[in-house]
Amino acid sequence: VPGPAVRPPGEPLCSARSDGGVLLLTGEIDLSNAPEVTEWVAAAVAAGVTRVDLSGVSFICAAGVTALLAGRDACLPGAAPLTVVCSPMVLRVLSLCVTEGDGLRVVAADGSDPMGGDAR
Amino acid sequence: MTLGSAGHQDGAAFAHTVVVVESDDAVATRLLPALRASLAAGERVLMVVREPTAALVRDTLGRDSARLDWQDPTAFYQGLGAAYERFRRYLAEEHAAGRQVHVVAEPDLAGDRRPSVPADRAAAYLCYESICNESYAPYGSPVTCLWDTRCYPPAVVDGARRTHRFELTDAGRLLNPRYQPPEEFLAECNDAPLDQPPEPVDHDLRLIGAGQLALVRAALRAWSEEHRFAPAAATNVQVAVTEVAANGLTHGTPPVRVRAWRHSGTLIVQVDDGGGPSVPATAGFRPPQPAQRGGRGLWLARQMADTVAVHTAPDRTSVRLHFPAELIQTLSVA
Repeated sequence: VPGPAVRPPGEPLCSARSDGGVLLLTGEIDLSNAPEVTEWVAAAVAAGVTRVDLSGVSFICAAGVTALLAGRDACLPGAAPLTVVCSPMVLRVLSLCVTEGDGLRVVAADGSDPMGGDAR
Repeated sequence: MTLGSAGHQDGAAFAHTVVVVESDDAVATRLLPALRASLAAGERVLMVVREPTAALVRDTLGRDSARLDWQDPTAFYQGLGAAYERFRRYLAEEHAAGRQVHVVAEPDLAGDRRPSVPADRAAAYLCYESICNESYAPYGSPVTCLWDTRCYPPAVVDGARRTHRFELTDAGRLLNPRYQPPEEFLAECNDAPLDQPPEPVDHDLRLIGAGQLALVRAALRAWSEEHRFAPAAATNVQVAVTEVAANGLTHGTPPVRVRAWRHSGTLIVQVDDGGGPSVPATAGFRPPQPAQRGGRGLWLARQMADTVAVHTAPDRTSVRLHFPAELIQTLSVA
């Protein structure tokens, strides 16, 4: 596929680290790394993490949203919501396709609660 | 059988009513009685109509026209999927607050006189007019849509009739025998083949695996920005194309071919794969439901593009996305 390289060869599209009980993801999330993201979220949730910070994620799509939900469900079926801290791009996507019943609490990186009460 | 003014009497059926007019007189004889009835019943009426219609209603109703809520239709100028979803959320909020509103809308696809808006935008608009029979139904607010035969070809007006359960006629509000349920109407839209992409195109990329999606995104972002798309609008292109290409890799047969070209002020991307299970006619038109797992991809693509046309054949699935600069640019975030 022609086109500019998006990152140095060998560097992963998205990386994860834990910091003070928060799972921090950085990079882009799509179909190619969705299984990894599911595993990272599932492992973090199993270890008691309730907050995933995506403020360093510059791209997410439906496969990424499904990965977050699957990771959360692996260990938290029906339990407390998983808080997802969003970059502006992530916030825009989640506000279009995540509903209140999905078990995610979506917040902007600046701390506001854009989903509001019953609105999405 | 004559029904009520706007349809509160109809119980479960969503009162989605078309009024077809061919003259100013027809507006007066068909629409105005319904407006007067709504006002007499104390209903709130939200008017989202073109200026010539607004002027006619004001002149005829006189002082009473101030009791209508007038909304500038240009506020609705954005991609079609986003506009319908924003309006669905408005109706949901009104419903949650225990309110009903009689919405009177008139499409302004005049756009369609602007060279950069694709000719088939009316067809895409009618798809949303069809699915909203389902998606707006829970909220109890009647919606009356005015179509002026002086503005649209007969096939489009016929489509308007096929997407509204009721019609306001000189004899009042009648059940419309031309109405088709959304599944049926959308299946017919899906049958329309796409014309050939031009040659050459700006980008012609082939993907065999998901690892290449990021490269396609980067190429299309640069391309969008070359054509003066703001960062938010370039994000629309990236998300929509990523979703459709990912669907091709997941449900279709690779390689997935992505072609991108420009027509006047509109960026156009077509994604083809070697075929698979046919795409359900309603795919991407229904808002995601709570606890739904997959199935958000085409929904997001339809939210991000202005129009998304899908055509399935036994050996090929083709999806064409339109991003008219003036509509997509109005999105302001991220």
